Amino acid sequence: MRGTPGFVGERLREAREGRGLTAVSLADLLGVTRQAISLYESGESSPQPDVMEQIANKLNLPIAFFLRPTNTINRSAIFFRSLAAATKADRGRGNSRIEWLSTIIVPYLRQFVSFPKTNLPTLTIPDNPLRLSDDDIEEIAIDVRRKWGLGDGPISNMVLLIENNGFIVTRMDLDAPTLDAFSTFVSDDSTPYIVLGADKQSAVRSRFDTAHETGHSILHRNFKPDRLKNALDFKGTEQQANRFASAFLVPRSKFADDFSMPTLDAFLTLKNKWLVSVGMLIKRAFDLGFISEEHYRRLWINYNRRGWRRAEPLDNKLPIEQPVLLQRACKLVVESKVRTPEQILMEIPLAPKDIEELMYLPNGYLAPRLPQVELRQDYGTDDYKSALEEVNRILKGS
Amino acid sequence: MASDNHVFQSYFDSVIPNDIQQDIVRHVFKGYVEADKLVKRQEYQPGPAKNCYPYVRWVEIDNNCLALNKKYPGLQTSSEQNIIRNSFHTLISLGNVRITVSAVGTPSSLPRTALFRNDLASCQYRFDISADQERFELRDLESVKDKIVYAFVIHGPMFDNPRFPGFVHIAFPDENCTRYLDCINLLKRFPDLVEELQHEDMIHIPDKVEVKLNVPEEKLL
Repeated sequence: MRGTPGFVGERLREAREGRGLTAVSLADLLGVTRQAISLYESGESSPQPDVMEQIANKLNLPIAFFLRPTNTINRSAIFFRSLAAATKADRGRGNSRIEWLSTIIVPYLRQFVSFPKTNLPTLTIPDNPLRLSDDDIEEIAIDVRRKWGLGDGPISNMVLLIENNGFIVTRMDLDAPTLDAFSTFVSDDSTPYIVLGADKQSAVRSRFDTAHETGHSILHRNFKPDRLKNALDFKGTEQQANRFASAFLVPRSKFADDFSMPTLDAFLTLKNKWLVSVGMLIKRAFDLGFISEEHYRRLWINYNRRGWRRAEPLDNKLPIEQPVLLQRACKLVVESKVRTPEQILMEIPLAPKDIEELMYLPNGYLAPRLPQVELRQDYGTDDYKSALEEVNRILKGS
Repeated sequence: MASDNHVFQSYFDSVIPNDIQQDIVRHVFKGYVEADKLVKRQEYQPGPAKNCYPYVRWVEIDNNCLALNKKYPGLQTSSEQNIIRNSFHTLISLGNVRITVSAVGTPSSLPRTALFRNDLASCQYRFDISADQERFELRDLESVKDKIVYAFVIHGPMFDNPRFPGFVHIAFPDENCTRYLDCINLLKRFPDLVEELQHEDMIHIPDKVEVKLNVPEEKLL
């Protein structure tokens, strides 16, 4: 058996999960058995060259991808927002994206470009962050604002703020309704990585996701991956990240100044100012004791009656924040003629579409798409048929 | 409003430049925001606190407007005592335009009756109205110079967020103070300013996402 020299089984699993496929479905696609896939992935055997080619084709990744050795990188758990509802396939896709971003894309760009220095405030976080109380988290959020030189007012652009402070952020279509965003902290380069969903059409909800993932990077950067398997630990970290996001986006003191009437319309006015959802403001007002439990319940009833759970007013008016760092780095590399787009595509062992997505580049920036060929509008009409007969007659040389 | 012809507006605009009009809007906004902070700081019960707001706003706005003369030479401001000596009001004067400020319930409401307002309104210039068309004419603006054009700055809280004014109008009363002859909606006139004032606490994040090449020049393609 010749196999594929240098084949790394772990990469096949990563690629398969990255494409959202089960081992059975990949086996079906390749016309091999489920057991064969299992053997490839465990490294007990490696695919024959023709199968290897098929794998690369079906998974739309260059063969070089499967030959990359696995390096153990030191990173925190990957925090998936909406993990409870996310399917295993969704999480697998997310895992691969974070892996590709932190081990392929960013190290590649760092060869040519210096990124902003990570500026994570030094805070006293206990070894077990789950011991932090809500009040502690409120204080930490204010502390982070201070250390980043912010006052207590609304933040105009949350993504830009964390990119300024060395976070790596990208936004992509996660193609998973149950997945909003995910993040990890890589200790090797002391960098937080955040992937935001592009499929969420609400700027304010996405801002909350950004603040939530920032909370994980601040509070849970030493949280070991295994701990998230414990449902209570998982729930605890999510609640803490939510509390951090609320306190960071809408600090208690300033919100107290702004809060006047506990009506949905009053909250809507505040939404326009604070750039957070009405739902979040209702929860915040309740958490801070500004409204009674009964009032809180009533607000939610009215909120649902108005259909705001599906979409709130202003959702389609407020612009969605866009990351700029990776895109800017890649464009600098190309425009300074350090590398051509072709070289980048050749040197990064991922599909062009993956590279563009992960770097948040416009479609076709690195790999211009071929023009679309479309059927003629008059296809099937008498004019078309007679034109076709004419062409055929000419071709026959009659 | 009584007429589609905005002769009062035109005249007012010719005397009171946009800068001053915008500062009036600023001072009204500031008055609302400051009043909100001051009352909240007292931790009154909600009922008494609500009663407080109009008074504190009144004081804040009048006080702010008094300072307008420091910025605009030629513009005069004074704190005038009323005839029965139980309160003061701020009078703003520039050229022959006189302005006082009043809180009202709605943009069409008139301020409550006051002798000083009636006095000022009684001197309101009567623009020539051509009898057949009942339209104001601008033709004798020159003669206005010797008379008074009296305007209220009227304002009231935003319904859902009383921390901000919901309307700020320049309204021109008739000589009996029984109706408005013309009016300018300042919030509509200066939407960018309103946006800025409503978001003045906003922390604008600068774009400091700098990427720098770390490749020696000789290695460039």
